Amino acid sequence: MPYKILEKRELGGSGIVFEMVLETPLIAKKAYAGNFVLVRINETGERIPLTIADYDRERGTITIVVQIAGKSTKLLFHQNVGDSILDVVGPLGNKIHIKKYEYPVVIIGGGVGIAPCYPQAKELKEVGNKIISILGARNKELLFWRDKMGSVSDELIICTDDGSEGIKGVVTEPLKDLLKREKLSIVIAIGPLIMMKYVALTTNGFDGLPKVKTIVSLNTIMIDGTGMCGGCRFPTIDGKIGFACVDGPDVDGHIVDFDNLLKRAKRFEKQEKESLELYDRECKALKKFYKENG
Amino acid sequence: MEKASPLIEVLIDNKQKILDSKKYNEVEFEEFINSLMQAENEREKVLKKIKELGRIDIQKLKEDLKISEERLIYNIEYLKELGLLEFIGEISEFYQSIEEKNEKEGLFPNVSIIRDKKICSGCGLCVSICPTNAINFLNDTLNIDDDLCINCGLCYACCHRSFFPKELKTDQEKLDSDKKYLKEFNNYREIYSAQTKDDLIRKVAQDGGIVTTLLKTAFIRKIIDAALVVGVSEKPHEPLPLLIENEEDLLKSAGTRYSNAHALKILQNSKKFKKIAVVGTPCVMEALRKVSVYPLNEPFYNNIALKIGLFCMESFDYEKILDILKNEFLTRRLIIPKEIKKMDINKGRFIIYKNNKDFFDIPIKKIKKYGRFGCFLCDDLTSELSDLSIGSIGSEPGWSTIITRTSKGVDLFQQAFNLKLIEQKKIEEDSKSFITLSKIAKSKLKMYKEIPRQKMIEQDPNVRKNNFQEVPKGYTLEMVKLETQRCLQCGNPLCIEGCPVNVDIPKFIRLLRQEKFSDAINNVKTYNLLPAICGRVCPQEIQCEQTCLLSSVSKPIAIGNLERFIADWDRKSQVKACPDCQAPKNIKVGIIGAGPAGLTCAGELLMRGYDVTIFEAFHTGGGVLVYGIPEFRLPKDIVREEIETLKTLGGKIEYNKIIGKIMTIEDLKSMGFKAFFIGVGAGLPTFIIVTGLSLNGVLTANEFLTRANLMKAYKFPEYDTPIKIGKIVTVLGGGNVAMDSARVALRLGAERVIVVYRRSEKEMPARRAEYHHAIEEGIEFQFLTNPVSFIGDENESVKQMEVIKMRLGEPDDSGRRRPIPIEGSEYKIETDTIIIAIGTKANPILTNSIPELKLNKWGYIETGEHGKTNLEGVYAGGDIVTGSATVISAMGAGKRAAAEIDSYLTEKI
Repeated sequence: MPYKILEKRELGGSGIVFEMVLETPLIAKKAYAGNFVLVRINETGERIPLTIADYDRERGTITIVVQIAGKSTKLLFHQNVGDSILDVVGPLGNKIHIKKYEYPVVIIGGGVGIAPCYPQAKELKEVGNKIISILGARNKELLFWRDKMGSVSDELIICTDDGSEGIKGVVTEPLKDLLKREKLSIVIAIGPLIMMKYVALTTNGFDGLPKVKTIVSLNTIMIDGTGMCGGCRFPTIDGKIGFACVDGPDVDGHIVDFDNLLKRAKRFEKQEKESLELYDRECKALKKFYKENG
Repeated sequence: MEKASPLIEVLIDNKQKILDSKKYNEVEFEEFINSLMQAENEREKVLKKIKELGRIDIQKLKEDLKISEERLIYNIEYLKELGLLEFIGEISEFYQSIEEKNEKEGLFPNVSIIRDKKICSGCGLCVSICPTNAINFLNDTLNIDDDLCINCGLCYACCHRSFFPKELKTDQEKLDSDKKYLKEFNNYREIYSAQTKDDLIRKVAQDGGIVTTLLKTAFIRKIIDAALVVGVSEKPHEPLPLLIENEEDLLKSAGTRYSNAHALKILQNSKKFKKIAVVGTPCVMEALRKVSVYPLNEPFYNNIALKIGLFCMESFDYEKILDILKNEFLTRRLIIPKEIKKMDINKGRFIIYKNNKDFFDIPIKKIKKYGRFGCFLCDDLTSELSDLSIGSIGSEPGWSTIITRTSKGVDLFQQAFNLKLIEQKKIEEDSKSFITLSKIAKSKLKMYKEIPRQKMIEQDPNVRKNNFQEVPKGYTLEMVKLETQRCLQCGNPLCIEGCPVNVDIPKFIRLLRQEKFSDAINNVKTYNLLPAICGRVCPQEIQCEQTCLLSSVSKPIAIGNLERFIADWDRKSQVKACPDCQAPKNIKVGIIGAGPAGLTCAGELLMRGYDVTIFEAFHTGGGVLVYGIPEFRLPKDIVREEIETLKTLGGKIEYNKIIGKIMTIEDLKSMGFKAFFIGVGAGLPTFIIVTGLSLNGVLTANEFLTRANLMKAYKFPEYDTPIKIGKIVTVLGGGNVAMDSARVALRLGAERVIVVYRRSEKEMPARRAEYHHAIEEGIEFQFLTNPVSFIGDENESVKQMEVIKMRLGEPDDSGRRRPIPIEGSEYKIETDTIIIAIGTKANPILTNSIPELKLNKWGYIETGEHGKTNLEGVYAGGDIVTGSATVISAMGAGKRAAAEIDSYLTEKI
């Protein structure tokens, strides 16, 4: 049974980030913050993990937010409202632990990682937590969902690498200020590996800053999403092995060996590039064909 | 004097033990050793000469050694069996397959091997041969007293089931013009129907009373001074071999016994007689023939003056005779052995007589299963190696059929006629009697000696290692014809026991032999809904083919290949065989997991009329059949077709549904599902704990194979899923998954693929065919080797693997010898891809969602024998219950659980 695309819109001004609302009534019924789905667009497609960025149980939909990075994400971008996706499997992974913390909760979203922050902030807010959100991106074009995040945050901090919006700098700068300013219960960081690495370092009790429990969300390469293939495994600093799909995707940021993960993430770089180039050539040829044939 | 042979040595060393057993006195022992020494010296000479020549050249050996051709052949066969001619490539397949060889080179093992291989005919000769009386028969099974046994191997040398050169069969007397030959009778002269004219004999005789009459003649004419026959003990119908010294005692032994008598166990006691007659079944005659040549190069017993052979279809252990009476006759009328006057086999029926008028009969095929295993191998109906053979087949009631074979036999028959003791009429070659007899004799012929096990045609290794097409191409019709003829059609087929779903293998082979293909596939599908899959991936060599009786003496019947043939025939035919389904019951049953266990369970329930829905986590069905087993071993079209079959039976399949995530069993219950079968497999990979596990280039076989098989990464970039393959790929493990990974890696372009396994070749659990295919394709193997660490380069990519050599210690819980590292033997293997294929464990996704489901300490579901879990209406089977096992055992579990679910629901609703 294919899964219908009900809505699609670009986010921000970059042209490479978009959201899609998918008709998946059974998944919507069981989805919670922290869960993800595996998507296979068509028969020759690969299985890509995408975090559930929102869900509507009554309408029977989930929302995914995607940034174009390779062939599969580009192909997904080329699907339109009314089209269908061949396979959507989920909800996978563990939902986050929702409880009322004593001190504020800091939620950090980097780039496309802002999207999965939303349901977490929302669910945590609903149980009465004070939510401080930090949204970061390379530039303002890559920022989105400021209002949506604002609606579930008590405090919203925005920063960009180039200073085109909010504070100029990376997300760890305002985080350091917060650590100095007040006692925090937990920090949740979702975004690029490198960002999560530095967030975890910042909260690990160095440089006279307090140590604060930090959860990061791993978006590794996956196939089955059920713990079977081991492709998503991550080494921990104490020499153990975790699986992002079944132990995560949200895990304790202080035990993850990010340096290794950064290298593992690149293991199919060459093939990913080859696949994307081939797809771009095909698209171009197709465009030309349509132009010539009306 | 020349150096004593190992055989002479062991006998002399144990002289006292031999004398104590009283079989030989001092003088007889010396005589025995002397004649044995002559034979041993002759064999030694032959061996020496062959060594000189470097080959077997009969002509040259004959000239140089001045030994007759016949004797040369017998000596060479003996040496070959002992494994002494291996240096010129002359190998005995049977002897090679024996694991428990004699510790001393140049000696045979004892006959416990013959017993264990279930090929003992029960002739009893070894009891007589054993110089220390170490062998006896207990409940029709030979038993060896280890304290008495001196391991001389004489019993094995004399046993007609250990080795029997075909030359021994062909001629026991020089050819003359009176001799005729027919394959099913061997050499013979004339065939008669005859009847005794002696009133006393006629009263007690079974048929024509001919055996007794001929023995009487032999006594009268002083041809013999004693006869070894089979009488009965105090227990009714229990046979008892006896030596009869005069014609008066003959009447005691008249009548036919169908139970095994081990007649030759008393042969040793006949030494005091000069000329004895032996009456016995074909195996007894065969044994006498063998011992006329082995091991002395002359008759071991030189007092055998007459051999009267009996026709025999098969014989039964005494206990089995009682079972036949109890199981097959008791239900019809109370019959106790004492009341039975005689038993007979005639016109395809087994008959028991209470008296001349009262009798009961059943078809022979009903008693076949009680037959002695050793008898299923026999291809001699008419006692080919006797002086004359006698039986009832081919004659009217009250008459016997006689086949004269040697001049001795012809003379005796003539004498009896001259003495007016018998009435006779000739059976001509064109008569109905002759045709009946030859037809039945022919039905007993076994083809496995002439027809080799048929090999499937396979893709050339050099071609196939570059493609993903299936390796074997299956059987041709001609191959099926030949292979099916090899089947023994045992009465008590062990192959069925070896099959986890108990397919009636002999029946489908018989139907194949008769070219009744649609009957054959229907028969298979009654037991196994997925034969095209099982024919390809079952480890037949440790299941049905291992238990096949033929494997004791030759290569087993190729059951898997035949199953594959008939399943493929069915796939290609227009009307697919579809078992009869019961009327819809409108009761919903949920199957979790579309692997072998789930699909089988679904099929069985669909046939029983249930409304079945299968929930599958992946986007396609088949489980390990699609994500684990590569296309070249199991084309995915076959899996798809099998699932289509389930759909035509009304089955529904829901893909992308991970139960425990998207829905729970509770959700399904509220949707109306009344029972569940959990067959989710054991999908979690096991890691070896060494440093460097997270290096790039190190991956699990699950990931590697799922990418390649399920996601079709071998077609990248047409398919989007990438796969990375290095120049030198090492695979850790020795199972099918390791073989599959290695061969996929090769096909994806690896320059070298090395399988590293911590035990030896023998312990490898992989299917033998896959191992051989891997070797043919150029996969390298490093046995008794275990990884110590994975070493990476500056980019965190693996570049080497450090390994350590292992040796095998004591057997562990699995029965396999435990590998132990050899200290200081570490070395490095250059490699840029390491695939870990050392097993899988339970995946907790589903079981975590049902906390009240009882699991064992490893996370597998605990069930009763038929898959019943601790939760009502919830059943489980396959790897999630047993841990990693085979496709067919998962199917067996699915099948049993379906039956259990059916009875549960029938009772409840």
